[in-house]
Amino acid sequence: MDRRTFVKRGLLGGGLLALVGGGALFLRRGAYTLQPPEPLKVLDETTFCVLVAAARRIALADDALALRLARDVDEALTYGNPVAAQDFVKVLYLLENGLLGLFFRLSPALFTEMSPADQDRALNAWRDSRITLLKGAYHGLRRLVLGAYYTNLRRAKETGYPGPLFDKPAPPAIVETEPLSPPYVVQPPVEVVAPAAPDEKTAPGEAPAKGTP
Amino acid sequence: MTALPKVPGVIEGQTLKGDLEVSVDVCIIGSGPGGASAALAFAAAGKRVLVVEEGGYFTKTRFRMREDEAYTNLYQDGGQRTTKDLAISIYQGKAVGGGSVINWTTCFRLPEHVLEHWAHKHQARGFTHNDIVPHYERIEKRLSITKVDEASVNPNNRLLLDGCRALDLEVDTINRNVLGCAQTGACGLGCPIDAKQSMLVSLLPDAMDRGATVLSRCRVDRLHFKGDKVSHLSGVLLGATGREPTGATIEVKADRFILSAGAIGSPGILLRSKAPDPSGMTGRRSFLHPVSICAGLFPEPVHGYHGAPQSVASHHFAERGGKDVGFFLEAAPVSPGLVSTAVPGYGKAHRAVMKMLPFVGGHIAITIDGFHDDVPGGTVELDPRGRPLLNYTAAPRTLAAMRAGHKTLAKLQLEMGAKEVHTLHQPLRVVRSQKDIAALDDAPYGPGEVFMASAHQMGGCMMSDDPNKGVVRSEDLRHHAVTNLHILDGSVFPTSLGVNPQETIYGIMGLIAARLAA
Repeated sequence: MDRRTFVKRGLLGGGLLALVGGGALFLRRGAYTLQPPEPLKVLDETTFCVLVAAARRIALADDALALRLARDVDEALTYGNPVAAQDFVKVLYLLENGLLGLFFRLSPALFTEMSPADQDRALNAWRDSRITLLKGAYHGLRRLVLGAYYTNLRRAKETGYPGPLFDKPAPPAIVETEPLSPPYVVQPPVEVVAPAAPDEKTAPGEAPAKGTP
Repeated sequence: MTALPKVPGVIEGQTLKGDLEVSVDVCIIGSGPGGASAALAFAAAGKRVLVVEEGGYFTKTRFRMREDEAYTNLYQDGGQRTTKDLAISIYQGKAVGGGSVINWTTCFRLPEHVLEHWAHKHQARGFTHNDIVPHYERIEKRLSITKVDEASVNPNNRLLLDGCRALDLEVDTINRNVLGCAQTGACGLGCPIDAKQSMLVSLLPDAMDRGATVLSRCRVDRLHFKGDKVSHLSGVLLGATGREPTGATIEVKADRFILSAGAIGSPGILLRSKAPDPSGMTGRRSFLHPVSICAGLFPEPVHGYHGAPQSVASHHFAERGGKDVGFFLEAAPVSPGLVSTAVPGYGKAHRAVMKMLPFVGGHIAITIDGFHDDVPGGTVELDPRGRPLLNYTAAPRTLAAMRAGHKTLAKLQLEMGAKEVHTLHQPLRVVRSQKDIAALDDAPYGPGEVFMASAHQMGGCMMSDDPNKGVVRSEDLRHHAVTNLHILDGSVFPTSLGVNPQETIYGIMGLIAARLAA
């Protein structure tokens, strides 16, 4: 079963279970009062709060940092495959769903309302699941949060990493309709790299080193 | 429709307004090692060349050795690409210059026995090793590909070198394509001083100096066919971050099309275009050189984030014989972001390992997939939005090689004084003794049970002179059913290579490009 099929079936299965008696559990929602520091791009209000809760456990983040990490993951998702990003959103809904929690980890609690120890148990249940896609969801969630944490230079230095060997000035901010770099300046070609005849053993000369702007 | 400015150099797609119509002699899709080789050959032959590239035109002013900037700007899917089951992380470049902008500069010529295997097993007989040699020599000169001096090996690679010697394994320093390397360790983040001789600073400028145009931030939607030819391609221009289309479209007509979008991108474009596929092999036999990793915690600092990431390799186990899949050993950079996603667990346990980062030695076993009938590789498919997705499940024989790689690396790291070795299993497994190494025989290797990664993507449009077995024929890498379409990138390889692929791509694609442009 692939990722999309699993996510769809998970939600569909939850829906069916809801119909046969667990409706209240399936549909129960948390308070979700946290405010993202910026407008969200991929996540919604619910999944943002689930991600904040996960970031607290995964990255040992305090509230302010957890908000920041969730925002950074939301931004990172805009660079990823859009289908995978939407699947990630659905995965966060699965983590939060009470009825599916009862099914997968024998607890109907919402992830955002669990104690830290229970949240760890919920994450570990996915990690240790026999279902490949739940394992994958666990790793995807973990990697996005940890990547957001440790690709930040200031936080990376907490590990003892001293940072880049030397500093470079920050380039201009990227603007969607502006060039990223100064234009390449065409130079007179040097006689070097014309296609070789099959029996040619050596190049006629070497080109000088070229750089970029 | 407006015409694309007829100027050599780089045109950044996000700066253009309105729909574009272009007519050239040769249109090349992708600007990595294959596409750049083709661009130079055709431009040198006086052809009007347009290279379209989905990635952005990032240059050294934007290469600041920062992981937070590099992964989003220079990698496919912002560094988040994985196999369909999420089990294998795929590191693949996306920029003007392609994967050469972010690879770790390791250069090997293709082992001759691999070419012989392709000829005998897959009917790819269009060129010989001796045909490629002049092109190896040419590119080695142009890219300053030279053997690493043992004295410049960083401590992480030194551990591998000395460890192999202690275990009596074949080992040597490797060749790298650098000129004036400052040992920043940031090869995977874009070289901050243009020391790495990527396509961005070598063959693409050479081609542009001869009149070629590179159009960045241009995503090809599909090829259109008329009879047995590609009539034109259609695509969209993207904003500077590459996330969203600007609304402008492009249509390119050309006498000849060269597909060089890489081992996942090229089959993806063919599938999206519903290209003729008489062999049914489009997207099939995709290989990854799946990697297993050992992180050793050493008593002295290793500082594996600085210095050339790779400068030593051992091919001692590359040909294990019989039914065993081979593997080779190399080092990997120990960058915080990269390591954080590979180290298992979360919370306190994860933080404790990360705090040891300066003391971590990172070594990898790269499995050589595709040489056994029961190691058929993966399949490129399209997701609901038409983007390529690799469905790859490591074969049991491949997993056995990954286990053997782990055991070898664990033995080597302990031999070199590691206090403990982490195999990146979930949950964490720690090796402290020979007994623990033996216990790896019981370790799980299913999807999600151990960290796996790939930096080498190959296959998906394999060459074979038998049109019932391959997508392209080998003598000129021409599509079997489309007479003006050639595929020049790593997707044409019928197996993985058993070595880091970039120089093989330069050599073979340089040869074929020369043939085509002659």
